[in-house]
Amino acid sequence: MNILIVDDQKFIREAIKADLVETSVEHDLQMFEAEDANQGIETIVATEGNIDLLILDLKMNNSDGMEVINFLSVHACYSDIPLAVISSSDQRTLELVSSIVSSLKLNLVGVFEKPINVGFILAQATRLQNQYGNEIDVNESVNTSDYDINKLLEDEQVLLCFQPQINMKSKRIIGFEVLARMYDENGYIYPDTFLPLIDKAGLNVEFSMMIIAKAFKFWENETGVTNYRLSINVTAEDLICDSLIDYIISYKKAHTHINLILELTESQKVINQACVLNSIARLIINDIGISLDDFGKSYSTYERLDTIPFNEIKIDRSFVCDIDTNKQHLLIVESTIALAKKMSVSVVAEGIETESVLNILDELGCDIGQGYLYSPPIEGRYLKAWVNRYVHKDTAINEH
Amino acid sequence: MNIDISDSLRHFFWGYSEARRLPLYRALVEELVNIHQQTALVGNDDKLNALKHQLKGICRYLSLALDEQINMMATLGQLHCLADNIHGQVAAIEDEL
Repeated sequence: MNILIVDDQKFIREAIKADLVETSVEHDLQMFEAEDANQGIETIVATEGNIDLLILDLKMNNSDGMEVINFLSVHACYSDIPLAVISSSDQRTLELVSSIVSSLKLNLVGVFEKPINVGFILAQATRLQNQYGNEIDVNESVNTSDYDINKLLEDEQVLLCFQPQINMKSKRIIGFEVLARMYDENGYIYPDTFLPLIDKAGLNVEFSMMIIAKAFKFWENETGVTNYRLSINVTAEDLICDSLIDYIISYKKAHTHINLILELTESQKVINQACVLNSIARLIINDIGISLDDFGKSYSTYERLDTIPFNEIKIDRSFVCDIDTNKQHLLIVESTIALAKKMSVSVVAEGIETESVLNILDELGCDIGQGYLYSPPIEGRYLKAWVNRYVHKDTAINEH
Repeated sequence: MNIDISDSLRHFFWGYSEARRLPLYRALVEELVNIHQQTALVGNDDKLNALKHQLKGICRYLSLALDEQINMMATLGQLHCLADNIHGQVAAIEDEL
């Protein structure tokens, strides 16, 4: 494990190094030191970004940690280095820095007050790396422009995965969110890659139609899971398409036993259009539930609450995944759950990855949980087996 | 400001294995001497905040709750006295390490 410590105070670098040696179970620790931002950047470049943890002091003599942070943010090849910002500054400054760094899409382990708890930071960094590793595209060597999205869609090179949603009190399965993956001869292509291409090609609605049709077909034929709720993502733009709405409603009418919920994302601007509100009204009238997806992410979130008679709020994973370490996020999640209770709608928390986050959500009274702690998205062909294992309490989380 | 930090110092150093104590001790003394010298220099007032920040970092690692006192220090002289005090007590425990 390669660790770079950037701090202008030799004593603090020595203390961190001593803590790392005494805390880490890993014997192969290689530590690099830098006493200012420039040296830090030089070391990052010299190691070709092969750093497993960057411990960065915020306020240094002759330079500051923001120089390194800005360097990481403008050089994509280094932006995934796990970054722990440390400082003796006051808590408010740390919170401000945390919010700035979070917005830069860096691999932020956290912003910590000195003296730091090295064991905790190492654990968090390892967790982040595992998570990053899980999310690495099998096709990472392929440029996005190399994909012929039209051909992939024509050939229906799409497969569906299902991520379970669990009742946090009873621990029973509530349902599954449908998540699409595309694939070619090299393996999976993840949404981060293919969705922008679909958007660029103007094929959003066609894609949604294909996913919905495939999901319906799978659900009605998959005995053993049909009783669970089926959640499908739709964008507000999809709701402008009358033929798509007609299709969903006619399907629901023909399969009244299927508990269908649409997770709605996208901009307030589009949602406010009369035709979109009209579509939402038609869906609700036909017993199709509406879940407000990515709740809290948009500035207009509260306007949406006022406009749409939804059944459920889904708190965005970016707020949920670190409520055990991020006070601001904890406050947001706590307030959202309280708001949902007042409005008598259920709350889904996505992005649950640790027991500690799960316990906090449970205490806050969150209704439904979703995340890697329960299960990563499961390919359709393995879904029934997963359900059987879970129901028979074979999974670790079920014993919680 | 006369404060007794000897227990905190022992607690800090004895938290590490014997092999680690001396490099830590040397780095600490080096930093304290540097702060001590910098705070003694006439015309160094513009460095007051930076030096306060450095001493605050050291104190935090030594579990000395001196943030507030350091924040309130308005002159290099005050900081010099504190650095001097800490340095003296650090030097006094060298033989125990």
